[in-house]
Amino acid sequence: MSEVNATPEIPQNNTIYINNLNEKIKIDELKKSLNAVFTQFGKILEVLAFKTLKHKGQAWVVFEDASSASNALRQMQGFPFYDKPMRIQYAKTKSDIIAKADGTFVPREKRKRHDEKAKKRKDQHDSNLAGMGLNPAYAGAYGAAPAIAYPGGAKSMVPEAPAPPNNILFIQNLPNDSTPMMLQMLFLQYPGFKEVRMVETKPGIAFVEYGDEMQSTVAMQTLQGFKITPQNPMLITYAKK
Amino acid sequence: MVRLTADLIWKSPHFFNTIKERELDLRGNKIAVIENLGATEDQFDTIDLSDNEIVKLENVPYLNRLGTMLINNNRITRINPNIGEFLPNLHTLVLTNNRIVNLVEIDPLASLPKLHFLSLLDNNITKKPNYRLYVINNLKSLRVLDFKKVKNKERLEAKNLFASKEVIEEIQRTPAKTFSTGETPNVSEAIEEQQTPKVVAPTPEQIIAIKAAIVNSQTLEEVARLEKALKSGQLPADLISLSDNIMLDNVDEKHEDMIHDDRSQADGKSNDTQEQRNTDSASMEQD
Repeated sequence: MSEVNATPEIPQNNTIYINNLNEKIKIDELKKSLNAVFTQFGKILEVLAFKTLKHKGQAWVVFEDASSASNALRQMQGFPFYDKPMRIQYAKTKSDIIAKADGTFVPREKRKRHDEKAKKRKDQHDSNLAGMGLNPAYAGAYGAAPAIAYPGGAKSMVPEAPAPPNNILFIQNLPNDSTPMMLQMLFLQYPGFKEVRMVETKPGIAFVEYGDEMQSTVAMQTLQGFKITPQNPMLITYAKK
Repeated sequence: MVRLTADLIWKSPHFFNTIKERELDLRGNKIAVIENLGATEDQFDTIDLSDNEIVKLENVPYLNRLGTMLINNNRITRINPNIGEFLPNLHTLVLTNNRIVNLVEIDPLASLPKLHFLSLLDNNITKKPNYRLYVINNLKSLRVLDFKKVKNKERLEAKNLFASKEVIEEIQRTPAKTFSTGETPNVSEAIEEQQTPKVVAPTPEQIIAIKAAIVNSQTLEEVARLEKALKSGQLPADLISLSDNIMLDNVDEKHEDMIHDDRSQADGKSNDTQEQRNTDSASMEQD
């Protein structure tokens, strides 16, 4: 809350950014509802909402007219939307769909790929990202929340690209009472499993090691979002090398 | 006033919208009456009629595919009782910022078999006591009302409330019967309009009544008056006045071939009609 208040005034934009949204609503229904509530202010070009940790409870609505965005921001500030008051600001950057319309769109530089072998692994990784519904470009474009802190060395607050493939997986969002044996029984069913390591000082995270990157990718894709308890879907990424 | 013609339908943008549905955009065309929607040939999941001047939700052909209707910022006061026969798959209806006043006016929506999502924000109906429970009790399939989920607890509460308030419900039903009676003068006037290309000016008595109604109309007063009318059963008189008022607006627009701008008072020769319009514009601005 204080962080929001401390934010300096953001200039007018065709796009509004909304947070404090109810996280229990499914993404499709959330988009539909946001479209329905904001059509009274003008034509909507796009509604963006994602279900990743960084983007939970947040959305962007792109209007055709900037005046529609101003009206929406003024009239719907604090509106009880699925029982939670909406918090609305202008977006910090121009939306792609607006940039393309007025000719200022610049394609974002893709990550470099060094060799064919790495390329194949990244392709698998990218398809997995598509399944997750995360788009790194949007994360950068819309001022996503700071990255979740990792144990060990301090992390840069700049939104980061996903880690490159690794034979070690990093598991987050585990229930606090999970044990290495529990995770081992889960991950043992995939070939190449070596061991589970948990950090005693930081409940809720773990490292799982496989024989090579191909094997870890298979396990990651299969168990991504697996719910040990209903409110703790696992978030799996490659560990840092 | 602009007519909703087949030409207009095909000239308007149709596209895949942000939620990946096929949408027809009829926004901002000053449409006064829904008609000729058969020209869509049932090809749209969503129809957007926002920012028009529609008064009644009627004249809808059988549209099996239509799932969403967006009718923000119109003047909807009444809904066709048989609308459910023509829109079997309608699941989302947005009526934000219209002029629905009485609880009984949303009863026709009960005929929509798959209506899950309804918005009646910024209508006077939302200020009625027990508004939310009444809607929940009548529309069994509703899941989200005014962007709040309908909980089972609310359904039970509504059921109990209206089971024990049979008498009150009967009182609320009385205006519905009155509405049926009230339709007749409207229909006969419409027939009269068809027979005579140029509509005869209203009688001095009607002018006086309309003038009095316009002069006295204020937002809060109007609400109070309508509530009083609901209790005393004087609604037919109000309905006739409203119809005459609407017809008068249309007649004036036809005669003077002027585009009616709600936001600015038109300049021109001063006469009774002009005064009425100015007052009407001022009244609308106050609303």
